[in-house]
Amino acid sequence: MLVNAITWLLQRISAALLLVVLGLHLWLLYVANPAEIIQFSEAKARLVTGSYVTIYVLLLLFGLFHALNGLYTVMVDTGLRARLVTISILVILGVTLFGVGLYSVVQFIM
Amino acid sequence: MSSREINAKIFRYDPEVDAEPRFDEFKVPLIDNMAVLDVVMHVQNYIDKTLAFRCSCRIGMCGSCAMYINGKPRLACRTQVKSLGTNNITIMPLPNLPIIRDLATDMEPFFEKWKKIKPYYVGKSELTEPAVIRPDSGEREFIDQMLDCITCGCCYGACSMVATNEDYIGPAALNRAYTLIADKRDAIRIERINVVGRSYGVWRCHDQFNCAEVCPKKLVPTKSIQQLKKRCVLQKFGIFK
Amino acid sequence: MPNREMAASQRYATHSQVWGAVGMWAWILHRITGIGLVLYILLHTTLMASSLIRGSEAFNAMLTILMTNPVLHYMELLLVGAVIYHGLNGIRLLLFDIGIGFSRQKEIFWSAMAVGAAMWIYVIMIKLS
Ligand code: HEM
Repeated sequence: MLVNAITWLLQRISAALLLVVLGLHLWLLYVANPAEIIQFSEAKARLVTGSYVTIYVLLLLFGLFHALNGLYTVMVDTGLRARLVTISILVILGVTLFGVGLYSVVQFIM
Repeated sequence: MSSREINAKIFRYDPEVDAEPRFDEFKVPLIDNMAVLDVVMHVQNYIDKTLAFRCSCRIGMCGSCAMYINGKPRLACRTQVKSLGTNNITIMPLPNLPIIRDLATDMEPFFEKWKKIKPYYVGKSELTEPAVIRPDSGEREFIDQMLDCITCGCCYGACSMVATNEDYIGPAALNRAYTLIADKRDAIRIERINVVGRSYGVWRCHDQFNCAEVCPKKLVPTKSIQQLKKRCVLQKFGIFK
Repeated sequence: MPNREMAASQRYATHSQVWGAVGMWAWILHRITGIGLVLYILLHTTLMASSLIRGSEAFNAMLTILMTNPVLHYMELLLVGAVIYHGLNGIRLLLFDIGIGFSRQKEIFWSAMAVGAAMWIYVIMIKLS
């Protein structure tokens, strides 16, 4: 009951914020720096600024929540019964991917 | 074939007898201002007496004659043959409901869900004076319009979320719940919010607008459901009491 | 043969649907692009990390493979298209959620699609030039 309303709201909030951070991500890649092939050194040079790092951490956070919660919605829509098991798997997956993503971001600022 | 003739292709199925449904084709003379209900009546009166369908008032008030006509649920009595733009009419029973026979569906699941939201007004007992609600208040205007539901089940048959999830309460009952919850005099609005806020309540709606597309009363249940979602969230934060 | 165990009326479902509502197609596409994007971020995060863990050389090598493969080049355009569609239709859905646009849902959809087409063509032109 409580979870339903809150996850629904968070799906909307993450969507609105993704509009900003995913928009920025795509803007940076296609308009501001349309490289033929992305080079580690160039990406590293961009990521020295704190705001770039913030964008990518937020992108991970909102993106993963939105994606996995969206997936859960799709499953419930089609009559999912094993709720707790599914939620546990999705949470583990989300936390793992967040860690993996964070690791990648950190590689550029080290 | 003359244009004064209708080719009616009608779904036939008796679950007690038939292994599989079939389509029967009937030629029906076209008369002026003919509704699809007149077509099936003609078939039953003059061609095949065993055709089963349901109807009652014939003027779009009772909500009994909803059928799947040329690709969407419609009230047979309110659907002019001319409005279909073709003389080829395919008629099937209302989707998402069990079939009793031919075009007659079992409305039981629909009304089971209708009952879940307690579809009647429950007044606050402490109110001794009649509540004063200005007829021109915007909120009132919206409720008034949404009250026009005749429980024909067209929206229920059109909803793809009902189709994929038989537990989903569906547009009609949720719309009804909204008209009651939005009523300031309602004594059990929190109880109703708790019913519609469950997993198989409002959260299953994904704004497809199929309900609004087919409603013979031109209601927009999608909007009522959005109003309910909002109230569910507000109630969680203690703003809606 | 009908299943005798079931109540007679439950034995057959027509599965007829309504396909005329714009919202129905908008939803199907939204769902397909959403699931596609989920698969993509799974791939994206693991590929990035698995090459970075082997150092910057491995990262450059990986991106050279990914960004020079002609098939992946076209797939990337599809990916951008999916983001644009999902994002713009997402805005439409968010508008409904704050109570705006119910009587204009089709017009809003087509306006969003016009904007989306322009954005997509722009990206395609950058990418293929
Ligand atoms: C560009 C910003 C985005 C916006 C504005 C947005 C908006 C939305 C909205 C409003 C919903 C809810 C749909 C509903 O309940 O009917 C949704 C669902 C979903 N989104 Fe996004 N989204 C965005 C980006 C993403 C990304 C990047 C992914 C994947 C990584 C994603 C995956 C999903 C999935 C899987 C669903 C569930 C599908 C469904 O319910 O039909 N979205 N999105």
